[in-house]
Amino acid sequence: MDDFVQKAQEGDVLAFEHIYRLHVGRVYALCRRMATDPGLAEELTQDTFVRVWHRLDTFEPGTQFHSWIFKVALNVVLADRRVRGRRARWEMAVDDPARLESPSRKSEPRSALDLESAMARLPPGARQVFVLHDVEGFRHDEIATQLEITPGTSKAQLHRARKLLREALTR
Amino acid sequence: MTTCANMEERLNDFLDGLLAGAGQQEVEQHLESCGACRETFDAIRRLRQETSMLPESLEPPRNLWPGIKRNLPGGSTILDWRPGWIRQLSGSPWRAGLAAAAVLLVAAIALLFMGPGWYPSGPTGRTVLPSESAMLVSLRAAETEFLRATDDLQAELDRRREELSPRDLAVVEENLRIINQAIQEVWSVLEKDPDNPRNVTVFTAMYRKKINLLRKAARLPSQS
Ligand SMILES: [Zn+2]
Repeated sequence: MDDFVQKAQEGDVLAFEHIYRLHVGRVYALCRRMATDPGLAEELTQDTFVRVWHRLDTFEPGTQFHSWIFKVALNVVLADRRVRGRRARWEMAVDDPARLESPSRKSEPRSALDLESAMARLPPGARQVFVLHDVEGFRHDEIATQLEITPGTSKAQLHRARKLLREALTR
Repeated sequence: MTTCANMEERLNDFLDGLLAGAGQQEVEQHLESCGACRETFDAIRRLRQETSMLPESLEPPRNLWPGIKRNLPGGSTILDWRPGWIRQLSGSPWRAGLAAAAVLLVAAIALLFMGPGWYPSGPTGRTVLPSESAMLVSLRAAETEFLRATDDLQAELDRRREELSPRDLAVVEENLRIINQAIQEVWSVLEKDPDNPRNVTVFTAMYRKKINLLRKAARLPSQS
């Protein structure tokens, strides 16, 4: 791994492509769950890797490369969220009625797919806190800083998200 | 005595490990006596457990690499040196081979994308591929010739490395890189959206540009 990072730092695009293949799933998962809109998630994933390329010289050897990439991705996601031009897509209303139908049946065990789609239907604020806290494992004080909200709001949004998800998944 | 009021918040905090000793005991005691809150508690716990089992990675629905690569201005001087080509020194005149491949490629693209009626239009006027294989097979054949020619160019380049000025060498290498990149881009566009005529126009123009560059690159070594 370090070998590829070093080569990429020296400008080797093929090595960087290898890095992309290794990490794209992790980055895309974050972008997709945070942004929901698939097109925006793809853009954010691409922006992340372009940013990673330009900032490769700031990566310190000996530290965890995957955590470093994840931090870059999170910064890209959060920065984009603050940009007014894309806000409409972040706050996108659910316009496809089919998506409002819960895919789960009471008689069948619910799947990860049900949970993912229920997460996607959450209001943006609740969804982003839920993803950062329950999926990615951040603390409320960290989330508060990242999302520019208070820790109390972060907690309230988390509880709201969990309640909405429980309701959606048992419908 | 604890009531059910605000209990949901405390159940969440309890599960998140945010309650200290006394608060924790209160919740535990309440849960022993209240079935409704126990049900809520189990539901939150189950949700947390399911969330923790979500996959860390999700594969994007399409290959995002070409779009990333286009935006890497810094990564421009590394060649796609494929293993083995150095040993495959061809005896044939490499520039003739290259020119032939370029002509073949232009012809293949013209035939495939510019020729009238090479595939029919659908009822909406949108062009529809009769079968993907015909186009892809033809293009892959052209690509094989193209790659063989660039292999020859690289072999020749390597052999003459000492004779060339560093500047000429850099120009040739840059051109080779562009060609390699163009091939990858063409394929990614094609595989992503093979029935969009606009894509076809865009990358036909791109291919022409690359082939001109290729010809320029082919002339360079003879100048030194
Ligand atoms: Zn109760």
